[in-house]
Amino acid sequence: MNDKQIRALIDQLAKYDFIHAQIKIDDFELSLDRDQLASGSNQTVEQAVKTINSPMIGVFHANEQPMKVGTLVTDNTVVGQIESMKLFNDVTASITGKVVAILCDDGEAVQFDQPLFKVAQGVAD
Amino acid sequence: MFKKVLIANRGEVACRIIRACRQLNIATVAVYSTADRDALFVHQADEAYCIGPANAKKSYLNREAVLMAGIIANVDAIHPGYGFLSEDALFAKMCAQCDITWLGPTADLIELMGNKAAARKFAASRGIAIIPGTFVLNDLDHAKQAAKKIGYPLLIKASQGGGGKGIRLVNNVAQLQAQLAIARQEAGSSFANNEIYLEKVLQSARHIEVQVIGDQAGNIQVLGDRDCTLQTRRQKVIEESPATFITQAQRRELVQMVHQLLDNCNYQGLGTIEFLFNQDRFYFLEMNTRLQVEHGVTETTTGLDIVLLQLQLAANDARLPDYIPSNEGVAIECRLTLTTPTQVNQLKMFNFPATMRVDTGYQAGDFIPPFYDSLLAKMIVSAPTRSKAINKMNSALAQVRIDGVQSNLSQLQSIIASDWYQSNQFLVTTLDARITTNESTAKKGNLD
Repeated sequence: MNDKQIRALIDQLAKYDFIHAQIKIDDFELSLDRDQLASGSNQTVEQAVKTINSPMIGVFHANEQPMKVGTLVTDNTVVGQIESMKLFNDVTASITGKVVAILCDDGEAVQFDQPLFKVAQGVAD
Repeated sequence: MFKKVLIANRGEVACRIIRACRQLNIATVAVYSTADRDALFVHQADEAYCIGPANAKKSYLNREAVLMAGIIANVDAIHPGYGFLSEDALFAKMCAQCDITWLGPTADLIELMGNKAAARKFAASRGIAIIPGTFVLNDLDHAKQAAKKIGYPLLIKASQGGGGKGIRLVNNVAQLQAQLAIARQEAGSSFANNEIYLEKVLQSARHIEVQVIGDQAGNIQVLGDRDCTLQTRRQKVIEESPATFITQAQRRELVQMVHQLLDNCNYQGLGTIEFLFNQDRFYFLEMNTRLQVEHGVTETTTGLDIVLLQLQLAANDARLPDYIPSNEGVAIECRLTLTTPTQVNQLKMFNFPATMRVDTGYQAGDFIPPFYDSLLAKMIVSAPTRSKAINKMNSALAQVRIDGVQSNLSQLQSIIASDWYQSNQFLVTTLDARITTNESTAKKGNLD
Protein backbone atom coordinates (compact mmCIF):
# COMPACT_ATOMS: atom_id res chain seq x y z
CA MET A 1 0.00 0.00 0.00
CA ASN A 2 1.32 3.37 -0.94
CA ASP A 3 0.34 6.73 0.53
CA LYS A 4 -2.20 7.37 -2.18
CA GLN A 5 -3.98 4.09 -1.61
CA ILE A 6 -4.09 4.61 2.12
CA ARG A 7 -5.53 8.05 1.67
CA ALA A 8 -8.18 6.69 -0.72
CA LEU A 9 -9.05 4.01 1.80
CA ILE A 10 -9.48 6.56 4.56
CA ASP A 11 -11.63 8.67 2.29
CA GLN A 12 -13.85 5.67 1.66
CA LEU A 13 -14.04 4.87 5.35
CA ALA A 14 -15.04 8.42 6.18
CA LYS A 15 -18.43 7.74 4.66
CA TYR A 16 -19.23 5.04 7.19
CA ASP A 17 -20.50 5.55 10.65
CA PHE A 18 -18.08 3.61 12.88
CA ILE A 19 -16.21 3.96 16.13
CA HIS A 20 -13.62 1.28 15.69
CA ALA A 21 -12.35 -0.34 12.47
CA GLN A 22 -9.66 -2.86 11.85
CA ILE A 23 -8.62 -3.57 8.29
CA LYS A 24 -6.18 -6.24 7.17
CA ILE A 25 -5.11 -6.63 3.54
CA ASP A 26 -2.22 -9.08 3.10
CA ASP A 27 0.63 -7.61 5.12
CA PHE A 28 -1.05 -4.30 5.53
CA GLU A 29 -2.90 -3.67 8.74
CA LEU A 30 -4.79 -0.56 9.74
CA SER A 31 -6.63 0.16 12.91
CA LEU A 32 -8.72 3.25 13.33
CA ASP A 33 -10.51 4.62 16.34
CA ARG A 34 -12.99 7.40 16.33
CA ASP A 35 -14.44 9.26 19.22
CA GLN A 36 -18.19 8.72 18.99
CA LEU A 37 -19.01 12.35 19.71
CA ALA A 38 -16.47 13.76 17.35
CA SER A 39 -17.03 11.08 14.71
CA GLY A 40 -18.32 11.98 11.25
CA SER A 41 -19.88 15.42 11.52
CA ASN A 42 -23.67 15.27 11.35
CA GLN A 43 -23.62 16.73 7.88
CA THR A 44 -21.83 13.81 6.26
CA VAL A 45 -24.25 11.35 7.87
CA GLU A 46 -27.19 13.42 6.66
CA GLN A 47 -25.92 13.43 3.09
CA ALA A 48 -25.63 9.68 2.99
CA VAL A 49 -29.28 9.15 3.94
CA LYS A 50 -31.49 8.64 0.91
CA THR A 51 -35.14 7.70 0.48
CA ILE A 52 -36.78 4.86 -1.39
CA ASN A 53 -39.72 6.47 -3.17
CA SER A 54 -42.92 4.97 -4.50
CA PRO A 55 -42.68 4.27 -8.26
CA MET A 56 -46.45 4.84 -8.67
CA ILE A 57 -49.65 5.94 -7.03
CA GLY A 58 -51.36 3.09 -5.19
CA VAL A 59 -51.72 1.25 -1.91
CA PHE A 60 -48.56 0.22 -0.10
CA HIS A 61 -48.34 -3.35 1.15
CA ALA A 62 -45.52 -4.35 3.51
CA ASN A 63 -43.66 -7.66 3.07
CA GLU A 64 -44.61 -10.67 5.15
CA GLN A 65 -41.50 -9.86 7.11
CA PRO A 66 -41.94 -6.08 7.19
CA MET A 67 -38.95 -3.83 6.87
CA LYS A 68 -37.67 -2.53 10.18
CA VAL A 69 -35.24 0.12 11.22
CA GLY A 70 -31.89 -1.60 10.91
CA THR A 71 -32.87 -3.93 8.04
CA LEU A 72 -30.10 -4.11 5.45
CA VAL A 73 -31.09 -3.66 1.81
CA THR A 74 -29.27 -4.00 -1.50
CA ASP A 75 -30.25 -2.80 -4.98
CA ASN A 76 -32.61 -5.71 -5.64
CA THR A 77 -34.20 -6.09 -2.21
CA VAL A 78 -37.99 -6.02 -2.47
CA VAL A 79 -39.03 -3.55 0.21
CA GLY A 80 -42.79 -3.88 -0.31
CA GLN A 81 -45.47 -3.79 -2.97
CA ILE A 82 -47.70 -1.13 -4.45
CA GLU A 83 -51.16 -2.22 -5.47
CA SER A 84 -52.54 -0.29 -8.41
CA MET A 85 -55.73 -1.35 -10.20
CA LYS A 86 -55.55 -4.75 -8.48
CA LEU A 87 -52.01 -5.38 -9.73
CA PHE A 88 -49.25 -5.84 -7.18
CA ASN A 89 -45.97 -4.25 -8.16
CA ASP A 90 -42.73 -4.98 -6.33
CA VAL A 91 -40.82 -2.00 -5.05
CA THR A 92 -37.07 -2.61 -5.08
CA ALA A 93 -34.65 -0.67 -2.93
CA SER A 94 -32.35 0.44 -5.81
CA ILE A 95 -29.89 1.42 -3.11
CA THR A 96 -27.55 -0.42 -0.76
CA GLY A 97 -27.66 0.47 2.89
CA LYS A 98 -29.44 0.24 6.21
CA VAL A 99 -33.04 1.28 6.80
CA VAL A 100 -33.09 4.14 9.30
CA ALA A 101 -36.77 5.12 9.14
CA ILE A 102 -40.10 3.67 7.97
CA LEU A 103 -42.24 6.40 6.43
CA CYS A 104 -45.42 4.53 5.45
CA ASP A 105 -47.78 2.01 6.97
CA ASP A 106 -49.09 -1.24 5.54
CA GLY A 107 -52.27 -0.50 3.56
CA GLU A 108 -51.58 3.22 3.26
CA ALA A 109 -52.32 5.04 -0.02
CA VAL A 110 -49.16 6.52 -1.46
CA GLN A 111 -48.54 8.93 -4.32
CA PHE A 112 -45.98 8.77 -7.08
CA ASP A 113 -42.52 9.66 -5.77
CA GLN A 114 -43.65 9.61 -2.13
CA PRO A 115 -40.77 8.57 0.22
CA LEU A 116 -41.43 5.13 1.76
CA PHE A 117 -38.18 4.43 3.63
CA LYS A 118 -35.08 6.29 4.70
CA VAL A 119 -31.87 4.40 4.06
CA ALA A 120 -28.35 5.21 5.26
CA GLN A 121 -26.42 4.51 2.12
CA GLY A 122 -23.51 2.09 2.06
CA VAL A 123 -23.91 0.36 5.43
CA ALA A 124 -24.43 -3.14 4.12
CA ASP A 125 -23.06 -6.65 4.64
CA MET B 1 -75.45 15.69 -7.45
CA PHE B 2 -71.91 14.36 -7.39
CA LYS B 3 -70.04 14.68 -4.11
CA LYS B 4 -66.51 14.51 -5.44
CA VAL B 5 -65.10 14.88 -8.95
CA LEU B 6 -61.59 14.09 -10.17
CA ILE B 7 -60.18 16.33 -12.87
CA ALA B 8 -57.96 14.29 -15.17
CA ASN B 9 -56.18 17.32 -16.60
CA ARG B 10 -53.94 20.24 -15.76
CA GLY B 11 -53.56 23.99 -16.26
CA GLU B 12 -56.35 26.36 -17.16
CA VAL B 13 -58.97 23.72 -17.94
CA ALA B 14 -58.42 22.05 -14.58
CA CYS B 15 -58.93 25.46 -12.90
CA ARG B 16 -62.03 26.00 -15.06
CA ILE B 17 -63.61 22.69 -13.99
CA ILE B 18 -62.71 23.26 -10.32
CA ARG B 19 -64.57 26.60 -10.53
CA ALA B 20 -67.75 24.95 -11.83
CA CYS B 21 -67.54 22.21 -9.17
CA ARG B 22 -67.19 24.79 -6.41
CA GLN B 23 -70.40 26.47 -7.51
CA LEU B 24 -72.19 23.15 -7.14
CA ASN B 25 -70.50 22.35 -3.81
CA ILE B 26 -68.70 19.39 -5.35
CA ALA B 27 -65.34 18.52 -3.77
CA THR B 28 -62.48 18.43 -6.29
CA VAL B 29 -59.52 16.13 -6.73
CA ALA B 30 -56.55 17.15 -8.84
CA VAL B 31 -53.99 14.73 -10.26
CA TYR B 32 -50.61 16.09 -11.26
CA SER B 33 -47.16 15.24 -12.53
CA THR B 34 -43.96 16.12 -10.66
CA ALA B 35 -43.55 19.06 -13.08
CA ASP B 36 -46.82 20.58 -11.82
CA ARG B 37 -46.24 20.25 -8.06
CA ASP B 38 -46.60 23.99 -7.54
CA ALA B 39 -49.25 24.62 -10.18
CA LEU B 40 -52.31 26.75 -9.48
CA PHE B 41 -54.81 23.94 -10.12
CA VAL B 42 -53.06 21.70 -7.57
CA HIS B 43 -53.48 24.39 -4.92
CA GLN B 44 -57.07 25.12 -5.91
CA ALA B 45 -58.32 21.54 -5.65
CA ASP B 46 -59.56 20.18 -2.34
CA GLU B 47 -57.30 17.14 -2.69
CA ALA B 48 -54.36 16.47 -4.98
CA TYR B 49 -52.41 13.36 -5.91
CA CYS B 50 -49.08 13.11 -7.67
CA ILE B 51 -49.56 10.41 -10.32
CA GLY B 52 -46.30 10.35 -12.23
CA PRO B 53 -43.26 12.08 -13.66
CA ALA B 54 -43.23 15.08 -16.03
CA ASN B 55 -43.58 12.88 -19.12
CA ALA B 56 -47.32 12.97 -19.88
CA LYS B 57 -47.31 9.36 -21.06
CA LYS B 58 -46.42 8.32 -17.53
CA SER B 59 -48.71 10.78 -15.74
CA TYR B 60 -51.62 12.57 -17.44
CA LEU B 61 -51.96 9.82 -20.06
CA ASN B 62 -51.47 7.01 -17.55
CA ARG B 63 -54.99 5.56 -17.28
CA GLU B 64 -54.22 3.27 -14.34
CA ALA B 65 -52.58 6.06 -12.33
CA VAL B 66 -55.46 8.50 -12.89
CA LEU B 67 -58.05 5.87 -12.01
CA MET B 68 -56.11 4.73 -8.96
CA ALA B 69 -56.18 8.32 -7.69
CA GLY B 70 -59.94 8.31 -8.26
CA ILE B 71 -60.31 5.07 -6.30
CA ILE B 72 -58.12 6.25 -3.43
CA ALA B 73 -59.97 9.58 -3.23
CA ASN B 74 -63.32 7.78 -3.65
CA VAL B 75 -64.71 10.08 -6.36
CA ASP B 76 -68.12 9.76 -8.06
CA ALA B 77 -67.06 11.13 -11.43
CA ILE B 78 -64.08 11.99 -13.62
CA HIS B 79 -63.94 15.07 -15.85
CA PRO B 80 -61.30 14.65 -18.55
CA GLY B 81 -61.16 18.27 -19.79
CA TYR B 82 -59.65 18.48 -23.30
CA GLY B 83 -56.60 16.72 -24.70
CA PHE B 84 -54.91 13.92 -22.70
CA LEU B 85 -57.51 11.17 -21.99
CA SER B 86 -60.57 13.19 -23.02
CA GLU B 87 -61.16 11.17 -26.20
CA ASP B 88 -59.83 7.86 -24.98
CA ALA B 89 -62.60 5.27 -25.34
CA LEU B 90 -60.70 2.69 -23.31
CA PHE B 91 -60.36 5.08 -20.40
CA ALA B 92 -64.09 5.86 -20.53
CA LYS B 93 -64.76 2.11 -20.34
CA MET B 94 -62.34 1.66 -17.46
CA CYS B 95 -64.11 4.42 -15.49
CA ALA B 96 -67.43 2.64 -15.95
CA GLN B 97 -65.88 -0.64 -14.79
CA CYS B 98 -64.74 1.11 -11.61
CA ASP B 99 -68.23 2.56 -11.05
CA ILE B 100 -67.03 6.08 -11.66
CA THR B 101 -69.17 8.33 -13.87
CA TRP B 102 -67.33 9.40 -17.01
CA LEU B 103 -68.27 12.99 -17.83
CA GLY B 104 -68.61 12.52 -21.56
CA PRO B 105 -70.37 10.38 -24.14
CA THR B 106 -70.23 6.59 -24.21
CA ALA B 107 -67.05 4.80 -25.25
CA ASP B 108 -68.69 3.66 -28.52
CA LEU B 109 -69.36 7.22 -29.62
CA ILE B 110 -65.89 8.40 -28.59
CA GLU B 111 -64.42 5.60 -30.65
CA LEU B 112 -66.64 6.31 -33.65
CA MET B 113 -65.88 10.03 -33.75
CA GLY B 114 -62.24 9.53 -32.77
CA ASN B 115 -61.66 7.54 -35.92
CA LYS B 116 -61.93 10.40 -38.40
CA ALA B 117 -62.44 8.12 -41.43
CA ALA B 118 -65.22 6.24 -39.62
CA ALA B 119 -66.80 9.54 -38.53
CA ARG B 120 -66.84 10.71 -42.19
CA LYS B 121 -68.56 7.50 -43.19
CA PHE B 122 -71.08 7.87 -40.37
CA ALA B 123 -71.84 11.51 -41.28
CA ALA B 124 -72.28 10.56 -44.92
CA SER B 125 -74.62 7.72 -43.93
CA ARG B 126 -76.78 10.29 -42.15
CA GLY B 127 -76.95 12.46 -45.22
CA ILE B 128 -74.46 15.11 -44.12
CA ALA B 129 -72.17 16.60 -46.76
CA ILE B 130 -68.59 15.55 -46.18
CA ILE B 131 -65.47 17.04 -47.74
CA PRO B 132 -64.80 15.26 -51.06
CA GLY B 133 -62.31 12.49 -50.41
CA THR B 134 -62.00 8.82 -49.60
CA PHE B 135 -62.61 6.48 -46.70
CA VAL B 136 -59.70 4.33 -45.49
CA LEU B 137 -57.20 3.72 -48.31
CA ASN B 138 -56.14 0.22 -49.20
CA ASP B 139 -53.03 0.81 -51.29
CA LEU B 140 -51.21 3.24 -53.56
CA ASP B 141 -53.22 2.34 -56.67
CA HIS B 142 -56.45 2.97 -54.80
CA ALA B 143 -55.06 6.32 -53.62
CA LYS B 144 -53.90 7.34 -57.12
CA GLN B 145 -57.24 6.49 -58.70
CA ALA B 146 -59.19 8.33 -56.04
CA ALA B 147 -56.86 11.34 -56.21
CA LYS B 148 -57.36 11.60 -59.96
CA LYS B 149 -61.11 11.68 -59.46
CA ILE B 150 -61.09 14.22 -56.59
CA GLY B 151 -58.34 16.47 -57.91
CA TYR B 152 -55.29 18.05 -56.27
CA PRO B 153 -54.27 19.59 -53.91
CA LEU B 154 -55.15 16.91 -51.38
CA LEU B 155 -54.59 16.18 -47.74
CA ILE B 156 -53.44 12.79 -46.52
CA LYS B 157 -54.99 12.42 -43.09
CA ALA B 158 -54.46 9.86 -40.33
CA SER B 159 -57.73 8.21 -39.25
CA GLN B 160 -56.79 8.55 -35.60
CA GLY B 161 -55.45 12.09 -36.07
CA GLY B 162 -57.76 15.06 -35.73
CA GLY B 163 -57.31 18.42 -34.09
CA GLY B 164 -54.94 19.37 -36.90
CA LYS B 165 -52.53 16.51 -36.27
CA GLY B 166 -51.36 13.80 -38.68
CA ILE B 167 -51.98 15.79 -41.88
CA ARG B 168 -49.82 16.01 -45.03
CA LEU B 169 -50.43 18.20 -48.07
CA VAL B 170 -49.81 16.82 -51.58
CA ASN B 171 -50.05 18.80 -54.81
CA ASN B 172 -49.56 16.12 -57.45
CA VAL B 173 -49.27 12.41 -58.08
CA ALA B 174 -45.50 12.36 -57.54
CA GLN B 175 -45.90 13.90 -54.08
CA LEU B 176 -48.77 11.54 -53.32
CA GLN B 177 -46.57 8.59 -54.19
CA ALA B 178 -43.70 9.93 -52.09
CA GLN B 179 -45.77 10.94 -49.05
CA LEU B 180 -48.22 8.07 -48.78
CA ALA B 181 -45.87 5.54 -47.21
CA ILE B 182 -44.38 8.17 -44.88
CA ALA B 183 -47.86 9.29 -43.81
CA ARG B 184 -48.88 5.71 -43.12
CA GLN B 185 -45.76 5.04 -41.09
CA GLU B 186 -46.13 8.29 -39.18
CA ALA B 187 -49.77 7.51 -38.40
CA GLY B 188 -48.73 4.10 -37.14
CA SER B 189 -46.12 5.47 -34.79
CA SER B 190 -48.03 8.56 -33.61
CA PHE B 191 -51.52 7.13 -33.27
CA ALA B 192 -50.90 3.37 -33.09
CA ASN B 193 -53.10 3.00 -36.18
CA ASN B 194 -51.76 3.32 -39.73
CA GLU B 195 -55.12 3.94 -41.42
CA ILE B 196 -55.09 6.98 -43.68
CA TYR B 197 -57.53 8.66 -46.05
CA LEU B 198 -57.62 11.52 -48.54
CA GLU B 199 -59.50 14.77 -48.36
CA LYS B 200 -59.68 17.55 -50.93
CA VAL B 201 -58.24 20.91 -49.94
CA LEU B 202 -61.07 23.41 -49.86
CA GLN B 203 -59.30 26.54 -51.04
CA SER B 204 -61.54 29.25 -49.67
CA ALA B 205 -62.91 27.68 -46.53
CA ARG B 206 -63.84 29.06 -43.16
CA HIS B 207 -63.97 26.92 -40.03
CA ILE B 208 -67.38 26.98 -38.36
CA GLU B 209 -68.31 24.79 -35.43
CA VAL B 210 -71.39 24.07 -33.40
CA GLN B 211 -71.51 23.51 -29.64
CA VAL B 212 -73.92 20.82 -28.49
CA ILE B 213 -74.82 19.21 -25.21
CA GLY B 214 -76.71 15.97 -24.59
CA ASP B 215 -78.61 14.87 -21.50
CA GLN B 216 -78.58 11.39 -19.97
CA ALA B 217 -81.51 10.36 -22.18
CA GLY B 218 -79.50 11.27 -25.28
CA ASN B 219 -81.50 14.34 -26.28
CA ILE B 220 -79.28 17.03 -27.67
CA GLN B 221 -79.47 20.80 -27.75
CA VAL B 222 -77.41 23.20 -29.84
CA LEU B 223 -75.80 25.93 -27.73
CA GLY B 224 -74.59 28.17 -30.54
CA ASP B 225 -71.89 28.36 -33.18
CA ARG B 226 -68.34 29.65 -33.36
CA ASP B 227 -66.03 30.90 -36.08
CA CYS B 228 -62.54 29.44 -35.60
CA THR B 229 -61.15 30.27 -39.01
CA LEU B 230 -58.02 32.02 -37.78
CA GLN B 231 -55.44 29.29 -37.43
CA THR B 232 -51.74 28.88 -37.78
CA ARG B 233 -50.34 25.46 -38.62
CA ARG B 234 -53.87 24.10 -38.08
CA GLN B 235 -53.99 25.40 -34.51
CA LYS B 236 -56.66 27.93 -33.59
CA VAL B 237 -55.50 31.43 -32.66
CA ILE B 238 -58.62 33.62 -32.47
CA GLU B 239 -62.21 32.39 -32.09
CA GLU B 240 -65.51 34.20 -32.21
CA SER B 241 -69.06 33.43 -31.19
CA PRO B 242 -71.33 33.49 -33.04
CA ALA B 243 -70.00 33.12 -36.59
CA THR B 244 -71.13 36.58 -37.64
CA PHE B 245 -70.86 36.25 -41.40
CA ILE B 246 -73.35 33.41 -41.88
CA THR B 247 -77.02 34.19 -42.47
CA GLN B 248 -79.88 33.12 -40.21
CA ALA B 249 -80.95 30.65 -42.91
CA GLN B 250 -77.47 29.15 -42.96
CA ARG B 251 -77.53 28.96 -39.17
CA ARG B 252 -80.81 27.04 -39.30
CA GLU B 253 -79.24 24.70 -41.85
CA LEU B 254 -76.32 24.09 -39.44
CA VAL B 255 -78.63 23.27 -36.55
CA GLN B 256 -80.61 20.92 -38.75
CA MET B 257 -77.39 19.15 -39.86
CA VAL B 258 -76.28 18.70 -36.25
CA HIS B 259 -79.60 17.10 -35.31
CA GLN B 260 -79.44 14.91 -38.39
CA LEU B 261 -76.01 13.74 -37.24
CA LEU B 262 -76.66 13.19 -33.54
CA ASP B 263 -80.38 12.60 -32.92
CA ASN B 264 -81.09 9.09 -31.63
CA CYS B 265 -77.40 8.41 -31.07
CA ASN B 266 -77.68 8.58 -27.28
CA TYR B 267 -75.13 11.37 -27.22
CA GLN B 268 -74.39 12.55 -23.67
CA GLY B 269 -72.31 15.47 -22.49
CA LEU B 270 -70.54 18.21 -24.40
CA GLY B 271 -69.50 17.99 -28.02
CA THR B 272 -68.44 20.13 -30.93
CA ILE B 273 -69.17 19.43 -34.57
CA GLU B 274 -66.69 21.12 -36.86
CA PHE B 275 -67.51 22.13 -40.41
CA LEU B 276 -65.69 23.80 -43.24
CA PHE B 277 -67.79 26.47 -44.93
CA ASN B 278 -66.83 26.72 -48.56
CA GLN B 279 -68.71 28.50 -51.36
CA ASP B 280 -71.87 28.76 -49.29
CA ARG B 281 -71.90 25.11 -48.30
CA PHE B 282 -71.11 23.37 -45.01
CA TYR B 283 -68.98 20.23 -45.04
CA PHE B 284 -68.56 17.97 -42.02
CA LEU B 285 -64.92 18.05 -40.86
CA GLU B 286 -64.87 16.17 -37.56
CA MET B 287 -66.53 15.93 -34.20
CA ASN B 288 -64.84 16.39 -30.83
CA THR B 289 -66.59 14.43 -28.11
CA ARG B 290 -65.50 16.63 -25.21
CA LEU B 291 -65.28 20.13 -23.74
CA GLN B 292 -63.40 22.36 -26.17
CA VAL B 293 -60.72 24.99 -25.49
CA GLU B 294 -62.83 27.81 -26.95
CA HIS B 295 -66.06 27.04 -25.05
CA GLY B 296 -65.68 30.37 -23.22
CA VAL B 297 -66.88 32.47 -26.17
CA THR B 298 -70.10 30.47 -26.28
CA GLU B 299 -70.55 30.97 -22.55
CA THR B 300 -69.97 34.69 -22.86
CA THR B 301 -72.65 35.16 -25.52
CA THR B 302 -75.20 32.70 -24.14
CA GLY B 303 -74.78 33.52 -20.48
CA LEU B 304 -74.56 29.78 -19.78
CA ASP B 305 -71.89 28.05 -17.75
CA ILE B 306 -71.62 25.00 -19.94
CA VAL B 307 -69.29 23.05 -17.64
CA LEU B 308 -71.79 23.57 -14.82
CA LEU B 309 -74.64 22.50 -17.10
CA GLN B 310 -72.66 19.42 -18.14
CA LEU B 311 -72.21 18.40 -14.49
CA GLN B 312 -75.89 19.01 -13.72
CA LEU B 313 -77.10 17.05 -16.75
CA ALA B 314 -74.77 14.15 -16.00
CA ALA B 315 -76.17 13.99 -12.46
CA ASN B 316 -79.75 14.27 -13.80
CA ASP B 317 -80.06 17.46 -11.80
CA ALA B 318 -81.13 19.78 -14.58
CA ARG B 319 -83.11 19.79 -17.79
CA LEU B 320 -81.79 20.47 -21.24
CA PRO B 321 -82.64 24.04 -22.37
CA ASP B 322 -85.84 23.96 -24.44
CA TYR B 323 -84.50 26.31 -27.07
CA ILE B 324 -81.16 27.44 -28.44
CA PRO B 325 -79.90 30.09 -26.02
CA SER B 326 -79.98 33.39 -27.87
CA ASN B 327 -76.64 34.73 -28.86
CA GLU B 328 -76.38 38.14 -27.33
CA GLY B 329 -73.62 40.19 -28.81
CA VAL B 330 -70.32 38.92 -30.10
CA ALA B 331 -67.48 37.39 -28.13
CA ILE B 332 -63.87 37.16 -29.28
CA GLU B 333 -61.20 34.98 -27.76
CA CYS B 334 -57.45 35.37 -28.28
CA ARG B 335 -55.18 32.53 -27.28
CA LEU B 336 -52.05 33.81 -25.58
CA THR B 337 -49.34 31.23 -26.14
CA LEU B 338 -45.67 30.69 -25.39
CA THR B 339 -43.77 31.11 -28.65
CA THR B 340 -40.07 30.38 -28.29
CA PRO B 341 -39.42 28.58 -25.02
CA THR B 342 -36.10 29.53 -23.48
CA GLN B 343 -34.11 27.68 -20.84
CA VAL B 344 -36.19 29.08 -17.98
CA ASN B 345 -39.68 30.39 -18.61
CA GLN B 346 -40.80 32.30 -15.57
CA LEU B 347 -43.76 34.64 -15.71
CA LYS B 348 -42.33 37.72 -14.04
CA MET B 349 -45.36 39.81 -14.85
CA PHE B 350 -48.80 38.50 -15.83
CA ASN B 351 -51.56 41.12 -15.65
CA PHE B 352 -54.79 41.51 -17.57
CA PRO B 353 -57.33 44.35 -17.63
CA ALA B 354 -60.70 43.79 -15.93
CA THR B 355 -62.51 44.17 -19.27
CA MET B 356 -61.41 40.65 -20.24
CA ARG B 357 -62.50 37.25 -19.04
CA VAL B 358 -59.19 35.45 -18.56
CA ASP B 359 -58.97 31.68 -18.23
CA THR B 360 -55.48 30.66 -17.21
CA GLY B 361 -53.68 28.07 -15.14
CA TYR B 362 -50.80 30.37 -14.30
CA GLN B 363 -50.03 33.36 -12.12
CA ALA B 364 -47.12 35.79 -11.86
CA GLY B 365 -44.01 34.04 -10.57
CA ASP B 366 -44.92 30.65 -12.09
CA PHE B 367 -42.46 28.66 -14.14
CA ILE B 368 -44.01 27.30 -17.34
CA PRO B 369 -43.17 23.60 -17.58
CA PRO B 370 -41.77 22.79 -21.03
CA PHE B 371 -43.50 19.40 -21.25
CA TYR B 372 -47.07 20.36 -22.12
CA ASP B 373 -49.08 22.67 -24.40
CA SER B 374 -48.04 26.26 -24.97
CA LEU B 375 -51.30 27.92 -23.88
CA LEU B 376 -50.70 30.68 -21.33
CA ALA B 377 -54.16 32.22 -21.17
CA LYS B 378 -57.43 32.61 -23.05
CA MET B 379 -58.51 36.22 -23.21
CA ILE B 380 -62.18 36.87 -23.95
CA VAL B 381 -64.12 40.08 -24.50
CA SER B 382 -67.69 40.64 -25.65
CA ALA B 383 -69.72 43.57 -26.94
CA PRO B 384 -73.06 44.15 -28.72
CA THR B 385 -71.47 44.05 -32.19
CA ARG B 386 -68.39 42.51 -33.79
CA SER B 387 -66.73 45.85 -34.44
CA LYS B 388 -67.32 46.98 -30.87
CA ALA B 389 -65.90 43.69 -29.61
CA ILE B 390 -62.83 44.21 -31.82
CA ASN B 391 -62.32 47.71 -30.41
CA LYS B 392 -62.66 46.39 -26.90
CA MET B 393 -60.14 43.59 -27.58
CA ASN B 394 -57.78 46.09 -29.18
CA SER B 395 -57.65 48.33 -26.13
CA ALA B 396 -57.66 45.39 -23.70
CA LEU B 397 -54.68 43.76 -25.42
CA ALA B 398 -52.76 47.01 -25.06
CA GLN B 399 -53.18 46.71 -21.29
CA VAL B 400 -51.95 43.13 -21.01
CA ARG B 401 -48.65 43.02 -19.14
CA ILE B 402 -46.55 39.93 -19.60
CA ASP B 403 -42.86 39.59 -18.91
CA GLY B 404 -40.31 36.82 -18.52
CA VAL B 405 -41.50 34.65 -21.42
CA GLN B 406 -41.78 35.04 -25.19
CA SER B 407 -45.44 35.19 -26.20
CA ASN B 408 -47.55 35.84 -29.29
CA LEU B 409 -49.11 38.98 -27.77
CA SER B 410 -47.79 41.34 -30.46
CA GLN B 411 -48.97 38.98 -33.19
CA LEU B 412 -52.47 38.96 -31.68
CA GLN B 413 -52.42 42.75 -31.45
CA SER B 414 -51.49 43.16 -35.11
CA ILE B 415 -54.19 40.71 -36.25
CA ILE B 416 -56.91 42.46 -34.23
CA ALA B 417 -55.77 45.83 -35.59
CA SER B 418 -55.62 44.70 -39.22
CA ASP B 419 -58.08 45.69 -41.94
CA TRP B 420 -58.46 42.15 -43.23
CA TYR B 421 -59.49 40.89 -39.78
CA GLN B 422 -61.78 43.79 -39.02
CA SER B 423 -63.53 43.47 -42.38
CA ASN B 424 -64.10 39.75 -41.68
CA GLN B 425 -62.31 38.84 -44.93
CA PHE B 426 -60.17 35.84 -44.16
CA LEU B 427 -59.92 32.09 -44.70
CA VAL B 428 -58.39 29.14 -42.86
CA THR B 429 -55.23 29.63 -44.93
CA THR B 430 -54.92 33.40 -44.42
CA LEU B 431 -52.80 33.50 -41.31
CA ASP B 432 -50.25 30.94 -42.52
CA ALA B 433 -50.02 32.70 -45.90
CA ARG B 434 -49.45 36.07 -44.23
CA ILE B 435 -46.79 34.67 -41.90
CA THR B 436 -44.93 33.09 -44.82
CA THR B 437 -45.07 36.36 -46.77
CA ASN B 438 -43.86 38.37 -43.78
CA GLU B 439 -41.01 35.96 -43.17
CA SER B 440 -39.82 36.10 -46.75
CA THR B 441 -40.04 39.90 -46.75
CA ALA B 442 -38.11 39.98 -43.52
CA LYS B 443 -35.45 37.70 -44.98
CA LYS B 444 -35.14 39.86 -48.07
CA GLY B 445 -34.81 42.86 -45.82
CA ASN B 446 -31.93 41.24 -44.04
CA LEU B 447 -30.15 40.41 -47.28
CA ASP B 448 -30.51 43.95 -48.54
